[in-house]
Amino acid sequence: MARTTTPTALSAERWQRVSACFEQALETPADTRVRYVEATFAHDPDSCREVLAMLKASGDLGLLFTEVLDILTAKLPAGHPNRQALMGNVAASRDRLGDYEGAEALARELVAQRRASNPVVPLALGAALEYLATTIARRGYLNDADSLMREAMTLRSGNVARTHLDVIRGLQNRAMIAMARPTRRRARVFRFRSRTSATVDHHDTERPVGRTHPPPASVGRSGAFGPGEPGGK
Amino acid sequence: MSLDDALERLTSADPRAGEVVVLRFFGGLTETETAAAMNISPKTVQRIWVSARAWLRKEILADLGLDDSPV
Repeated sequence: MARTTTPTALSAERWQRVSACFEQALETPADTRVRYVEATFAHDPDSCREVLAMLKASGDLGLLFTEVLDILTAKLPAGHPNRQALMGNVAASRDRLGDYEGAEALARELVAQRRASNPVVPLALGAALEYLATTIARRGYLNDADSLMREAMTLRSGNVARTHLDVIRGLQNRAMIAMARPTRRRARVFRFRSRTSATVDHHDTERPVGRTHPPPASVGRSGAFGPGEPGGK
Repeated sequence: MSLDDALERLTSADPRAGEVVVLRFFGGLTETETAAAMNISPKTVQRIWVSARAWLRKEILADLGLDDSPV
């Protein structure tokens, strides 16, 4: 889609006039804003249109990027690698905006598409599984999140070195999920492994570690995924 | 038109608004941090930020042809 109007010149004087009216309009009750702007710019239709458009657009800028990504995503055919990458970005954007349900829906679709890819790309599917896991963990579905992370790590274990960043990050995420569940011992195991990159979690066995590593400040029951622990879906 | 173009137009009209956008949006600074960096009050930063953000969004929506729905 292309712009249907020519950008109007924005002089310092015009910006001052427009932004002042916009600010005042925001202070006005919502049902009288349009009338207020129209009255203010009764003899300046360009400025009037500009302020009304600003009011319409005064939501969160992050939402704009989500909208733009949605549009771009819809233009690409299903299964296109770029479409999948964009879906991941839209999901991340929705996640940042606190739209966890929207993020989860997209993450699930992304996993489904990557599972259906021919051939399946293990690292790409692993990344999608990990993203879905962290998204649903934030919503409190920790058991499902742990299962997804386990699958993601299994996919990686046969395809990349134990020191690969994806493996380390995956172990850190498993640790955070385990910390949020009543399985702190498992969390210590995953954290230890992510730090040493000594082993990859093939069979999800719990092996004691020689010493306890204190958790980093960013990891904790309340830090990673927020409140709410339904405990399973 | 890119965000850069729109930001350039805004900055030419109001350099302070452009600076707030750069610090807040691209720099990731909070309102308080932006206020300290620019030596203005957080309230002023908030006021400028809300207007500048709305204007930039309007420009980008217009560029995408998504500006035809009613307020």
